[in-house]
Amino acid sequence: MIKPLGLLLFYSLFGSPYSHGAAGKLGFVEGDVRLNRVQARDYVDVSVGDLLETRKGKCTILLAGNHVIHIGQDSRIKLTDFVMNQGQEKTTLDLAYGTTRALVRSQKSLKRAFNIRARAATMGVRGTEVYIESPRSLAKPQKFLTIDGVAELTFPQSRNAPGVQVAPQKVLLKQGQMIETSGGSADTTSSSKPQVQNIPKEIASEIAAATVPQSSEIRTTEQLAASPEVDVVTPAFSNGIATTPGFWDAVAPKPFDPILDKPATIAVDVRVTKQ
Amino acid sequence: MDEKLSALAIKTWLFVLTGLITLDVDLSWAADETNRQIARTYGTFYFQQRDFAQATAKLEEHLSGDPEDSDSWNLLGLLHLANGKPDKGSRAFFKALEKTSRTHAKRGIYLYNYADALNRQSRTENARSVLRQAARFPGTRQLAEVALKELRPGAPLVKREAEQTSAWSGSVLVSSGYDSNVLLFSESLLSVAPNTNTASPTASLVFEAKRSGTLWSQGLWLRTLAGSTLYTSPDSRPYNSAFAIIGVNWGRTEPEISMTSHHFGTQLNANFLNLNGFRFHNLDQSLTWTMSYPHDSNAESEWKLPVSYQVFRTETGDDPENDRTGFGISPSLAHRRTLGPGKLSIAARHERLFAKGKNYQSRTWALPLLYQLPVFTNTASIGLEGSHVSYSQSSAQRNDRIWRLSFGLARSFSKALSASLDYSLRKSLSNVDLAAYDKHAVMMTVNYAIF
Repeated sequence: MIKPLGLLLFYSLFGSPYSHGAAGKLGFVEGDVRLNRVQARDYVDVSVGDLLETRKGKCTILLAGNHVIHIGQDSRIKLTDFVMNQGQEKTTLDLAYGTTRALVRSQKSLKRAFNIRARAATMGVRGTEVYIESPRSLAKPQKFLTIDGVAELTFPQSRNAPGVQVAPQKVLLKQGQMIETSGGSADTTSSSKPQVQNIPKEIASEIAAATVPQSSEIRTTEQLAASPEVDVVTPAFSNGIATTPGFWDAVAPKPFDPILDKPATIAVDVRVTKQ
Repeated sequence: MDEKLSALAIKTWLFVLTGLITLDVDLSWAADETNRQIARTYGTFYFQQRDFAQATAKLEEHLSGDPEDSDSWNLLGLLHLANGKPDKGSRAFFKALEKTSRTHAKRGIYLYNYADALNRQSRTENARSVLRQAARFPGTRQLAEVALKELRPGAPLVKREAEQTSAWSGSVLVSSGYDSNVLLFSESLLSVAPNTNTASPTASLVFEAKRSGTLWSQGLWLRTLAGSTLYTSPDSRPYNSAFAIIGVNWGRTEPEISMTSHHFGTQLNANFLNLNGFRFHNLDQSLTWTMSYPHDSNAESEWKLPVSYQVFRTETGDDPENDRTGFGISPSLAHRRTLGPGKLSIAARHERLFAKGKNYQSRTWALPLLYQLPVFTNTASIGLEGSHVSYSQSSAQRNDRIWRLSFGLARSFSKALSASLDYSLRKSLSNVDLAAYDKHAVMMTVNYAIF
């Protein structure tokens, strides 16, 4: 009991080993991105208290050599807290508005608290990948999505009526689950629990895809040559022998006239025009 | 009894079809995928700073704990290539290939990169062999074919795709053959009552123009077609026809494996017949939604939902119950996969026609099957389709069972010229005598691309 109190006193007086140093680096800066109101560039340090703002731009924070936080267009996010010491790690990000996709590395040996605070709720990432969309407009709904792993969503306590206080409400969001608030903030009164939606894998990926800078993953040598637009990883169903007339026609719906029997050569399906 | 058997056959078929589809659906979501993405992001980040040591160290540390991550092996190989170490690069690409199945979505990319590393080490014959394998994958086919043509020992592979052909293309199609039963059975129910069982040599001439492009970052295809079919036998001449088709399809250009993709299309068909003068006979307009799911590079499932409206010419004095004008819907579920040396395609289709005339309100169940395989330089195909058509509102309570068997042989002689020889047998068994028939057709078709 004495040791934690002592550490707390020590840190409050002198700060933690990481709190005043660089917590991470900025990377994949694309377009208009500002760090503490100054145009940002790749590889600069990101420290506790730093404010990142994007307009028509995106970027990524590479945090502590372990985590990846992609920040989408028109966003404002602050690294409020980052402490790492003796097998423990605590991170807090405040998302004023915008979109973020956080990939938090899972390490069994480390006790970790990774929280992203948005207007309507705080998302505690237990591991490993989450997405938050918090539009600038208060009237628009916010989205909290767990792409992989598990996250805990905590809605702040609210007042139904003067003097009546409702305790904070916690919702566990598993992989592929999303909560969308009904504009401004979620209604967290006991009578209406936030609705959890199940999102298919491909939809979840699509929702979060726009947040990621294009240059953050490389698969080809062309991309290595600083050509992030190129992506030849687009496998398609092999049409090796599908060129024979009639291949698609045989399983495609026929004209529904069961009477008029025409020569097969005039059957047409525009899909076969794909090369 | 027949209907019960038909229903049982349909249920069995659907069960088999559903089983084939669900067997291939991979619902797993790799639990360590996030750690993999993180490692690759850091590797890429350090590489972009030209910090090769940090980039490779980060990836090697990750791969020591997760050696199954083929994408990270691929990235490590690329880093070695960029750092002028193709020997280390080829070892990493080989690892990536080791960790993927033969149908893995990205295998073509890994093969291509592996060939690049081998060629830079002047192992040109090995590189050539690997490039041939890469050319079997749709995503890398063009790149690999160009690289094969321009392979220079010790040099990086040429990285450009084959030149795109013009967005417009056009072709002319000529077919000729013999039809044992020039059939327009429906007309026999009309007052004219023409002969329904005439045999005739036949020829068709068709012009086709196609254009491909993009709209809202999706593929857009336009196809127009116009032609005519002629019968030389005097009895069959009323069935000489002219037709025009225009279709537009919009959707994903290259469907990704394990991702559903959607296409939306519309098509207008118009037919003119030589009955009582060359006049409009019928047209139909359809809207189709297609959803496809490639399980891997060898298997695909597809759901189609066409909704159509057809208009048929009617004349004064025609029985209104014979009016075929009306809406139709024709959903189908198909599955295609590689089987042995060829490709198998099976499907189930249901059709409903809500015609104005009761004699043509129909309900169809059809089960088509097609197998195609390469034979020397040709492609052979065999098809079989069984269908049951019920006209439950018709005055004769008509029920048809139709079998269709077909054989085909197709060959491309050059990029512009291809030909096919087809035979088909269509046998209709019906409780209405006039609707029972056999029809044999042999057709030779030549297609030539004119631009």
